[in-house]
Amino acid sequence: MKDDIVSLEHYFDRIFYLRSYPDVAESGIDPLEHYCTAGWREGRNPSIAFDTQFYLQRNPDIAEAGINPLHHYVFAGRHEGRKVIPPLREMRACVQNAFRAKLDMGQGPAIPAEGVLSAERLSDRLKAGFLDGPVILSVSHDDYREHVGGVQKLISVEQTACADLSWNYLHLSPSCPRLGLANHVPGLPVALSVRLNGEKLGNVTPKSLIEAFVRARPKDQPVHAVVHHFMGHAPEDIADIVEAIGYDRIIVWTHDFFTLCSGIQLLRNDAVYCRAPAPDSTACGICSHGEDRPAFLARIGAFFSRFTPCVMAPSEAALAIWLKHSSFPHSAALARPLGRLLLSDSRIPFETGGTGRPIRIAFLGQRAYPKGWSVFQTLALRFKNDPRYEFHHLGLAHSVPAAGHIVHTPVNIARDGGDAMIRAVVARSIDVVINWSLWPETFCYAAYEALAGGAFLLAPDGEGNVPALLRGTASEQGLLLDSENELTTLLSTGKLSDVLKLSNRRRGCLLAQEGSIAWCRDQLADDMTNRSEIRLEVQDD
Amino acid sequence: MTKVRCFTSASFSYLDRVRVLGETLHRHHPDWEFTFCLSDIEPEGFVFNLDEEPIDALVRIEELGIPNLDSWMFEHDIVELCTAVKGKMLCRLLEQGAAKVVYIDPDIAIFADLTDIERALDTHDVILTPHQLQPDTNETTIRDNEIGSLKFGIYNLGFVAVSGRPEGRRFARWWRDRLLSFCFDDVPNGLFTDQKWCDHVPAFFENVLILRDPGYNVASWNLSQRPITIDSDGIIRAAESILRFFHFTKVTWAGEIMLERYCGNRIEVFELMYWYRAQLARKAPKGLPERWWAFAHYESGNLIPSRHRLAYRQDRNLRRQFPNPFSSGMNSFEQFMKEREML
Repeated sequence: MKDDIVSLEHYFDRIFYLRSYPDVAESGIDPLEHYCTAGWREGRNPSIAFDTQFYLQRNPDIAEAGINPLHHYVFAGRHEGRKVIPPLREMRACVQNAFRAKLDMGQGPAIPAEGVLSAERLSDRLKAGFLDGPVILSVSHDDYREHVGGVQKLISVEQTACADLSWNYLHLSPSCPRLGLANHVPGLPVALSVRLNGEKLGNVTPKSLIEAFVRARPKDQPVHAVVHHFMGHAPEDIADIVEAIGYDRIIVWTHDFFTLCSGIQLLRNDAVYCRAPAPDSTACGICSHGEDRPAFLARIGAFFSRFTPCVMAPSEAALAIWLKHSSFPHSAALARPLGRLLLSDSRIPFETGGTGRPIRIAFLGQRAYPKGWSVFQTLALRFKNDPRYEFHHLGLAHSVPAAGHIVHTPVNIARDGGDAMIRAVVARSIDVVINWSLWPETFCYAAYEALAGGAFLLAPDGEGNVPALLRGTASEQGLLLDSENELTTLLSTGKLSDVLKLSNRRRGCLLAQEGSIAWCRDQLADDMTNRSEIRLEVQDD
Repeated sequence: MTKVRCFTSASFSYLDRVRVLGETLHRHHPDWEFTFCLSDIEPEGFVFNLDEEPIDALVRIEELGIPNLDSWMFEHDIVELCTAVKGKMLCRLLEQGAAKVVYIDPDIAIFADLTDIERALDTHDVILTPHQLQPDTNETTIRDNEIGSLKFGIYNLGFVAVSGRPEGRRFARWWRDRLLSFCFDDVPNGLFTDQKWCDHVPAFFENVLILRDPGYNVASWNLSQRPITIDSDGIIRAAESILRFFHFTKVTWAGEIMLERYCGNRIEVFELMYWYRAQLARKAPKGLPERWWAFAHYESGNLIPSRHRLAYRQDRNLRRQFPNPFSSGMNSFEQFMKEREML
């Protein structure tokens, strides 16, 4: 019996079990004992690499006999080649979740619980808050002060830039955030949440917003519209607002690929990069995002046709993809990177190997499938007992279970500051970061943070911001690989150590850029110069 | 070009599937007329309105002119009955003057156009799709697929296309007659509903086309040889051929076991399966009791055990004695069986 326990122990992940099942941790029971006596009957898993329910479902004889499935696997099943997790487990879960989300999704107009402001009240609040300067009307998918992410970060930067210029930053987001576009139902408006210069003014209908804005707007000041994201909005409403307030310039951002498909990452069924085929393609027909894509594109396209906006993308790579797959009319297409990587001149010496310290390999950010978490975890499981490597996760767990031997360092950018991830990479002496995104990232903060922290970056070759970065400015601090097999081989052969010895790793920082504001300011300056020149010409005449 | 008459056969419990078939068929062939052959009756309170369905015409089992209908229906379980009517329905459409008839199982979804079938019927009278097109090499796969086909039939009768010319009509009449008498799931005695019969077709009839394009009738039983892929243009293929239609035989976790076995570590076939399940969830008939089938019960409301159907089917005297075996009460077949089983 004691030998049995020793054998089971080898396949049992105590840290995983205690983290996944806090009730067991609280009870103080030995986790392996808990699993053997009750846990497996309750469908709990002994590790991330063993699915109790799957094993019992695929082997009904074991279920009927009431045998502990882990015990069976260790002493019989593994010699018979029985499977312990569903093939393509994570990928299949993504596809199933994508369809479930689609079935559950409601797109009708939702009324915020706190109600909506009248045009009069909003007008009063706008008058009280407006500075006597130009207005940036910014539109995005959620309240940037309440949510964390790349787009929200840029909007905060824009708002600060506006404050420095004494400009107004009027931000609109759907009062009730939702996936996809909101249905445009006449008579049932989609409520908008309004912030002016960072202060929340309340919820309002598009009609009231127009009325209030027209009454309260600063006199003779230009208005620039910046659409960061259409998600959750009815684009027809946004178009009506932009037109009614009398815009001078209009920018539409492609922070992700929402203007090409409601699947913002161009992942078919949230699982496979699809390369944006024609909306009437068979692949779109079987995609959770595809069925409505023709109608979706028609609505987005109508907005572009109405305004012919300037398109901005957070990287050259993202812009190239958008231009390749979009036929929407636009006046200009510009890449405006969200950050600029500044690296020092001094090289980080490679200390591992000779000193006996294992190479520290990390995953940064959210444990999400599209970000390549599964690829990283599979690698970590494969090399779990290899003394050459140590695996780390830097970021928030968000209740996603992980293998216990992956060292977790919680990093909360919202709480600890914008450079918290870079500091964590340095503090943990991370040698290598694996950034195996399954879609072409438009601007990947995690990749920049890895490089700024002095880590060597491993990523799949292909389209998007990360491969472009590793082909360009960071070519000596990373490697593009063709496949997951190549990644595995790099570790199994020990070549990763050689690569690190030859690399030119440096640390640095990531400088935030001003987004749309600097461009609007330059355009405004050009306008004023042109107006002065015209006046001079008139005087000359 | 003559209009193609397409039909499927099911009870209301498969109405979700019929709807998916109807929609996907109309997407690629709005010109084909799609008929639903229904072996069921609406439960109380459930309204089946053809105007709201992706179905052009409805034929109820009682319209097929099958003699001694109650007695005949009673001999069959739900699957046997919905397959047994296929021959009668095929003949009906041909008798109405159809030049081309295509039968498609309700649990099939169409992914690309079927014009090649339509054209092939200009030169062939019967078109069949074999379960497998290539021999397998692995023993488990041979057991699952090749031996499975030896038991259940070489050709999958989820699809058959027939011309209105004399040879097509001759096939239809032969198949109808066999199904009226021998459409049972009785593999030990060489029968498997409407399917095993068609092993005879290449020998019995002229101008038979055995369709060898792997894009047609893709299913778990041939996935081992037909990996599903999707390219950057969004085209779905099976073994390099454009996927025409997929046969979603089992959509429960049991069906997933076969997909797991033969997916070749590719996600695409699961995407098809989960897409199909989502379609079924959206198209589930509202207000239909779970597992509804009007002919599943005696008039008393008691479920008809399969052994009762078998006893009735095997004994000509019982059939003569109880021409309406569904009835209950005194002198009914139900009463008779109850008493017999108490002895």
